[in-house]
Amino acid sequence: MSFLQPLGLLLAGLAAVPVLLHLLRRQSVQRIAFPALRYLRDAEQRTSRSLRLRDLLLLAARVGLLVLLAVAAARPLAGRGDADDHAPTDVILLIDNSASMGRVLDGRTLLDLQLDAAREALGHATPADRFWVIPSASPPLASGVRAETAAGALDSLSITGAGADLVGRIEEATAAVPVEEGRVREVQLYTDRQASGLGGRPLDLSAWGRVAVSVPDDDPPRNLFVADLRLEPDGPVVPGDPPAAAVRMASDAGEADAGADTVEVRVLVDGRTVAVARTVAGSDVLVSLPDLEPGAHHVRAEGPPSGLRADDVRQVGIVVEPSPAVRFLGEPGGFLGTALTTLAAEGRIREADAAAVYVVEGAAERAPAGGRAVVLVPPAELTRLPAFQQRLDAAGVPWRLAGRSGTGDLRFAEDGGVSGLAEIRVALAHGLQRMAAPATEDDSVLLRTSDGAPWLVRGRAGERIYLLLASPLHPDATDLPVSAAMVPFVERLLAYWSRPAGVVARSIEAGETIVLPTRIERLRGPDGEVVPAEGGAPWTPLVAGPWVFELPGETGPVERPVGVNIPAAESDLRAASTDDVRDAFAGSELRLASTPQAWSDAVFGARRPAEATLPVVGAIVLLALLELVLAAPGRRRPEDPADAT
Amino acid sequence: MSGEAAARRPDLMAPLHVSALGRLEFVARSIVDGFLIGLHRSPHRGFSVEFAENRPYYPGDDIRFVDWKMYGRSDRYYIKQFEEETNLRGYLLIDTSESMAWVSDGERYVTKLAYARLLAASLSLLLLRQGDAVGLLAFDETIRAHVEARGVLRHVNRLVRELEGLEGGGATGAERALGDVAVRLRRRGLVVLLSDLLVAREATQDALHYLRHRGHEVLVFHLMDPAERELPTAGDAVFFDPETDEELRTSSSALRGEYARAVEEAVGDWRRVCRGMGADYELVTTDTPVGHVLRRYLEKRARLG
Repeated sequence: MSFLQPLGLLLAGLAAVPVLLHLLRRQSVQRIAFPALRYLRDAEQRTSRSLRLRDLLLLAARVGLLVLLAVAAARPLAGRGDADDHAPTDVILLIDNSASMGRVLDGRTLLDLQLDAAREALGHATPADRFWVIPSASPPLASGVRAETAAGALDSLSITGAGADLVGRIEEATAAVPVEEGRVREVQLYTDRQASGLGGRPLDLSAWGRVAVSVPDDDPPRNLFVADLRLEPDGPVVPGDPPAAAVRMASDAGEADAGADTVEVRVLVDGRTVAVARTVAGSDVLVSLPDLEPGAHHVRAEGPPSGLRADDVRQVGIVVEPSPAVRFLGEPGGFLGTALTTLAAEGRIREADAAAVYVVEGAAERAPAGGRAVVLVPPAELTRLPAFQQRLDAAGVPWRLAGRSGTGDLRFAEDGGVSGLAEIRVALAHGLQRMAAPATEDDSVLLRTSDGAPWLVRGRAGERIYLLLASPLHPDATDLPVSAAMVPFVERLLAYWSRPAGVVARSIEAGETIVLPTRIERLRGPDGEVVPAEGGAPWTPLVAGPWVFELPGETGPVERPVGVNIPAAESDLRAASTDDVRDAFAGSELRLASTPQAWSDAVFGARRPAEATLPVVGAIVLLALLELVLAAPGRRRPEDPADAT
Repeated sequence: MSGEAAARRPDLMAPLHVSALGRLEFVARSIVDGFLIGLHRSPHRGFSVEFAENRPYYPGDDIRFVDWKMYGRSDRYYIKQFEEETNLRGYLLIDTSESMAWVSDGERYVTKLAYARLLAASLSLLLLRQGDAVGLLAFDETIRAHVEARGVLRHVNRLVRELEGLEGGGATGAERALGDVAVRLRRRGLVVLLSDLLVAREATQDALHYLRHRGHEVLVFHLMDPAERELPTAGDAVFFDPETDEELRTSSSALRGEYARAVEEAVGDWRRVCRGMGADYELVTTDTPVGHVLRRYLEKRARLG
């Protein structure tokens, strides 16, 4: 407590007066003769206890009265003044605009409600205040501006599909606000109090400033959401071999909802419903997709409406590649040539001179330039190995065939997605030795023999993918050419393994940053808006939905679809407890408010104290009344007329 | 009676003022005369044939007993009085303890002892004029003065002299005086106790009960100073009993209510006990005109026949 006129407190010395008077009167009390002392003693015995109490109360009331008079004269300042009367403050308005803020309460989104709270706080600002308007999931909107500008910035704020790391975002923001002498600092956090947004390590802002947190005055509802949508198998999609869509529903009630009532899940391809299935929260449901035409497709899974509408849907992008154009450079009547002829007859590949994939068997011919991939198969005759090595060198392949051969009864260590491949015997396998360190992400060993030696390697040589086998596809080297796995193996080589790995993910989470494909030209958002894009630049989508990358192709733009989804953590609407919020800012001076009145009381904590003279005067009046009551003489009894002789 | 007339009648005057009129005998006569005028009848009766003395004529006296010879000699009216056998012997018992000499406000009230003297003198005169015999016993812790009961009018002079000589002092022992009276009254009589009753309560009440048991009529005048009836505001003070010097430190203002309750309980106890034994009890404060008290006495006397 402080005082406007502290000298008034000197009057508190008057408080000693009643005590001194009491002591003096004890010394100089008069002595009175009174014969009827027996009646007086009776009365005194009946009231001695209450008399002592009354005397003590009376003394306390009188001392208190004088002390309060001194306090009132000093004009005390106590408590917190009005929000409008505060020290110059630098305020970070951190608005949670994560996907969960799209939850609707009383017909309005939580973001709208919190923006109202922010505008209310701005209404208490003074011209000396400065504001930093920082959304949790999008770039800052204003830095060091006045309240009017900050209010305008709030109008442009919208909900994103991204998650929120509120504590981390505040830490970044506080580091960006300059610390100036004579100014106080305050973070005003407007959030739905989602527990997932307030996790992580605690942030102690005690040395920086205060924290005020505005939260909604409700308990979030149970939320059922599409937790996952993926394709099985998760590889390139080719015509005639459609994958299945695996959909998993989940609930933020966790185990409590497991095995609860089934819910309906719809699967759509390019907006057309292709399947409807029923499942329960926590379980996957597998839905077969129809055979898809070559090109870009969006697959979408929809669940029933629940607490947060934005996560009742999830999508992935699919590119169905056309049948690869293949040119075979080897003996046409051999096992490999026969397999290619079979695939071509089935329409799974196309034979073309200007091919996308060149298959070179032995060392008879060099692979022409161009195409996206070249498959290199060693010759069956050992005498031609040196020439094959030269072909490797000419093609820029960093691998060489080492001296190992005829190692005995080996088998493949894995099937590589080809049914029956693991049962195949490998009698002859050259050792594969890499001449330089791996250079690209495409460098990998796709198949190994049971002794761990590489058998099929992939890498990038210039613009092309190369695939190098360790064994000739001849029955003397391996049973593969004469097995049922031969044709599927060759198709996998041409349709799947000949494609670069990890070019574009089928789906990403909103708020996640990825590197755009190098050849990208444009981006098309869920609303159809097309914007130019720069290849190799980082990209952070904030809007959930079906996105499309446009890349140049030989016959026009090629579309690469990608599904942008709400992070699964955002679907967990469970609120952090008050203690959790305090823990998140442990050590900081924190005020938490869920009503407009409480929020007005919470913001701008560096307030000047209010003058409290009036309440003190009220207390003086009450004490004076108490003193009057206590000091009043004893009650009179009405006289009995019969006794008044 | 108008207020002006009341102001002129000593029996209706405040005791402090009436006591200032002169000597006790004169004052008592003034009171009784005024009182009898107010009654409009003479209470005199019971005269026997044996001449005893003359006394001045007073209005209301029967003119058959005017001594005409004395009138012829002195040109004044005298009444012939005769020694008579009274049918009632009365004893006035006056408490002269230290507490009776206390007065709360000497400018407004008389002491309880002074009031008792005035009341006793007036009662004596009234009794003697009615032909009753009157005796006097003054006591504190012992018997301080004693006048045997006689029925002649001049006996009042003796009584008044004794009354005038009474001084307050000592503790109170009413039971001893009451016992003494019980011995002296051989046949049915009247005992009038004038005391502030700051006495040993049970012993005194036992003694009164004994008198009643012997067939005597008992009249108790409980004398109280107005300040004893209603405690004045004196703030914090040390109160002491002048008889025992016992002290009590307290605040009178805080105790007024409870004190009044304690007094009421004590008065109620005396009234209940007296009624239980068939005695009369009158609470008299020292600001009460004596005439009012005499009226109570006459009502009692009328019941005795």
